[in-house]
Amino acid sequence: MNGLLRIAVGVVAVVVVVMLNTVFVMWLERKFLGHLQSRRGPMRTGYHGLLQPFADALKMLGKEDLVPAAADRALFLVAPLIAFSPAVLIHVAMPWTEWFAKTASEIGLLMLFAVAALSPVGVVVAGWASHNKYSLIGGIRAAAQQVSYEVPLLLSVVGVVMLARSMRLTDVVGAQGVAWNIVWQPLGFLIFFIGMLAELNRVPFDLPEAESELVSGFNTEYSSMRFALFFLAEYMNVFTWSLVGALVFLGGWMGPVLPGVVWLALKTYALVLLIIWVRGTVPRVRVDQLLAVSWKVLLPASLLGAMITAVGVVFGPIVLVPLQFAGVLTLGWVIARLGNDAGEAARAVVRL
Amino acid sequence: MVVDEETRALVAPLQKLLDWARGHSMWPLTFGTACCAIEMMTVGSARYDTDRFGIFFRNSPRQADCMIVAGTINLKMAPRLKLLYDQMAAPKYVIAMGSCAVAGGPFAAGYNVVNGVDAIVPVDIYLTGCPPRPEALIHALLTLMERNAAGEPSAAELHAAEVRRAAQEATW
Amino acid sequence: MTVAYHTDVSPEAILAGMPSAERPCKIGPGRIPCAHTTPGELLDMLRQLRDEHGFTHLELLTAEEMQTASDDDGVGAEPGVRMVYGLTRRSDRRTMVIYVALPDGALEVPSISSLWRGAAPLEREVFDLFGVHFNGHPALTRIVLRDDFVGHPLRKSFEMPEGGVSAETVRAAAASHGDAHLRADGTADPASIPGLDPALLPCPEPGFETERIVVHMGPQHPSTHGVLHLWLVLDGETVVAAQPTQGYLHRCIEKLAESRDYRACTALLDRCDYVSGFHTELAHVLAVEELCGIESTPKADFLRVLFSELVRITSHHTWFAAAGLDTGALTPFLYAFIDRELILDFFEEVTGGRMMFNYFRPGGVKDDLPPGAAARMVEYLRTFDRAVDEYEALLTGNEIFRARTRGVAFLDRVTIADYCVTGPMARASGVDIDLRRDQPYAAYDRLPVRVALGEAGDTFERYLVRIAEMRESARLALAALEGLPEGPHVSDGVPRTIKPPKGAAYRAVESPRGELGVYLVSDGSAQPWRLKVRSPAMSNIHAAGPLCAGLRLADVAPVVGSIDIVMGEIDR
Repeated sequence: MNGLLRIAVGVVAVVVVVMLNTVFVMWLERKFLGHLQSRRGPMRTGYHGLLQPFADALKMLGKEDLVPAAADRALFLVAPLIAFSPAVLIHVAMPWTEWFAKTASEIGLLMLFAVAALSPVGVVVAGWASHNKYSLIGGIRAAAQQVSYEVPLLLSVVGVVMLARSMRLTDVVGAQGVAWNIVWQPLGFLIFFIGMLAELNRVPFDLPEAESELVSGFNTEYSSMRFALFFLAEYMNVFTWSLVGALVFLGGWMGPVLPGVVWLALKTYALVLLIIWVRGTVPRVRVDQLLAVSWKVLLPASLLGAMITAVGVVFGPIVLVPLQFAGVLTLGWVIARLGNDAGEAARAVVRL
Repeated sequence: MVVDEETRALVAPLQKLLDWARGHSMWPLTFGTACCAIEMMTVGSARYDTDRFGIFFRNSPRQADCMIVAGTINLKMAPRLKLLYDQMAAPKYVIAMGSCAVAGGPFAAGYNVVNGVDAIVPVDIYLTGCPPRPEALIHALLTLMERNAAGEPSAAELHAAEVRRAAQEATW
Repeated sequence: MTVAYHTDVSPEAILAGMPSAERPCKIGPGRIPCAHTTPGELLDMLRQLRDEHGFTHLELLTAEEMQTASDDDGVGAEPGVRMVYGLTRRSDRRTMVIYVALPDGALEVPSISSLWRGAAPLEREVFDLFGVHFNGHPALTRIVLRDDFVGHPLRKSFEMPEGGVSAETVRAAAASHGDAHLRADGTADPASIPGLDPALLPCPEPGFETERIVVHMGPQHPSTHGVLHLWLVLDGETVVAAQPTQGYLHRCIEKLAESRDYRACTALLDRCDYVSGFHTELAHVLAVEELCGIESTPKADFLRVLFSELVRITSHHTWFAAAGLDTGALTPFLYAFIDRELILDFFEEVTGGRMMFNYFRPGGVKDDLPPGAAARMVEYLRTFDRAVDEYEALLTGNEIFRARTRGVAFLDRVTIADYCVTGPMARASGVDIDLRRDQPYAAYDRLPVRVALGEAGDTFERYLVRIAEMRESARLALAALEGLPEGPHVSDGVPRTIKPPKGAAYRAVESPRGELGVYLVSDGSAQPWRLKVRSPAMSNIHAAGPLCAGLRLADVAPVVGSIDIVMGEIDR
């Protein structure tokens, strides 16, 4: 009984903490994006607009719940739940700090990726059930995108697992005592970050809801709370994956002076801000380019990263670190070339 | 919203919260047809920044609260306007932005121009000007949000109530 | 293939040597030679002019109601319509006009869409508004009005609805889509889309149960720049065919102008190209001045250049904002609109309006610059390059933006001539045309005009050309301010009511979208008999069909964005 109660309290606590963080991420995005664009973002609802996401969510709760006449009704109704539940479920595997790590499973890292892989199902179902061509294309894009990015994303942490010799997330964090994994695994981190953006459907990989061609993509037909669920799931995933990034590559709760929770929050939000910064800076890639980058560049690079790590585990950090950095430079060069090589026949010279 | 007294008393605290939310969050549809659309874009720009007030443009009518009819509507566009309005989820509001949407503007005498969109959709706010300045559009949006915060019914609801009453009278 | 044309043979001499060209005359006080021909000989004559004499650019295709009372240019007294074809020779920028008179009851003329594919939408417009039938036209249906519209409004016999369209008509119109290409339930009937090949619809892949889908993009879509409507046939993500449709912003501007006096027309024309109102105003004012023989003052000429160039910058700001949004980047919009506002402040200070200026008048401009304005403009324009540097820092070097736009949607010279494409679109493909230099108006002949010229003709090149034009426009505006002569801003002796003598004039200016012309016909009264705006964007957008075919769905928005359209000017 006591055990059950403890679990219940734990679950509620985790859900509340995650939700609050999600709402904070929503606010942060509008605020930080605003400041990137020399404007101020929400100002009127609460202190500097802090209550803005609450007002938005409440308002959406109070809106009419529309189901298009031609939609596949049952699927249309459950799709947001299918998209939303993995976003919450993933936190089962999350060690928050060392004292909350009791539930940390031996295969924590693997489970994390397994649960995350479920989220595109909701998007695909939503796209299909809406009976809308834009939604359908958005859903199909989501499927293609997530399938192709799952692989390099998973491979990018193989090096980390090798170094920690465990898939338990507490061990992964514990293994970063000397230096964070970003130092040992810069190539892995780069691939992880790119894959994460794709997994999250964030700019420059926000193809499933690309507004310039698909209006609003897979969620075009969704209104009211069902849309809010998609919206929440998206931002919850942003928070979750930043947390994972912080745990796996940025040393988790390790850090001097300040308590572990604060360190973890700082690192997580550093990644969140990085994601928003990317959104404020770059355009969106095209679907064929997206797939090409995944299969032709990231996949080989992640395999290479794993091999380098294997060599590094044998010969020590003196070999590992330079090789990894060389990998980062090569990857950067290849990606830059992809952009500049497109249509080399087209020489862009403007004469006056 | 138009509800009877008993229900109102029952849900009063919730309603208050909802009204607060509706008074602080307004997602207009990006529906621009003509000159006014440029000024509508401008309100999202750095100098005017409607994001400050919780005003945030959405592309899908399903997710929008308010339709800003920014520009002239002609007979060819009229059914599309109606369709978009019907696709929006209640409660929904309409701002007729600019003289054209209000009354046909400089093209009122034409053979193809809708002389006021209120012939097609119920309008909450009439905003004159050709085109109205961005500040005026912000004022219109804020007025709409203040009305919501005060729990005033939307034009769509008043219109529906009117239709209901007329139907009842007809059956008597 | 290059053909050497005998540019020394003047259009007048060519027309004189053509047996099918009857009654040679001049329009616009002696500037543009013209001739009449018959429907039967039209096609051969235009082909000859195009292929043998180098008149490759179809500048104008429109119609006007016959002036039955008129006789000075020998126009027949029979009621009817006459077709107006304006052709331009690129090599020496000479224009000629061919008239074809069509009496009522025989409103038929051969379609010239076999010579210029870009003529097809223009002919559909004439069919729509005048009821002229074009024999041999690939798909002669209404283009600007609803398919269930009754009548042809630009005919003088058309009865305008008293007090505008009634609310009943509006409600009835809103209740049905009135589109012959849609089924009753609103879904597309792809086989009936004008200009779209039905053979493209079935998917040719054997063994797969797949089908091609038809998507309406627009008229309400975040990246159709207003109310453009594109029919897209998609094979998965690949665009098999694209066909632009228009008319969702047809506001009867040309008809309403016929009941307003010449000065009041400016207000309507401001709303025609609402992103760069000064250019439509200027083309109209130049045509009025030519008809009446009014000269503007040197100071007004410089002010006209100044504001034309400033508004070109703001127009390109809007384009740049859209270029970012179309590729999925948010920030370019915010950056561009910061500077746009600063320039709009100058407009507001001088003209009183942010977008609707009503500032150019026959004989000059409405007001002189207020004190101190010139100095502040100079100060701002000197720093303008730094703002453009910031825009470029966002997009020009960005790998994703380059990958999205380089090598995408090449526009070749053949298509440019075929669709009568002008402006930055043509210049990005290396077609060296710019009216500011080739046919100077206002004070452009006294200023150093440098034309930004591209080479590759892809989306990225169009981007670069416009970016270069922004810098050049700032430089020209600065030069205009620095060279601003003293003197009056409007010439004396412009009559209170302008009543030009009978005749016609055509003047074109280089708008941010291309050659924007106003064809003005006067019957001697205080209102124009016919005012036709030659819309560059209308010609340009119909090139989107060949441009988009074969691309990905995601490319459509950036490509349409790179055409830079303003629906108000396309539909009028």
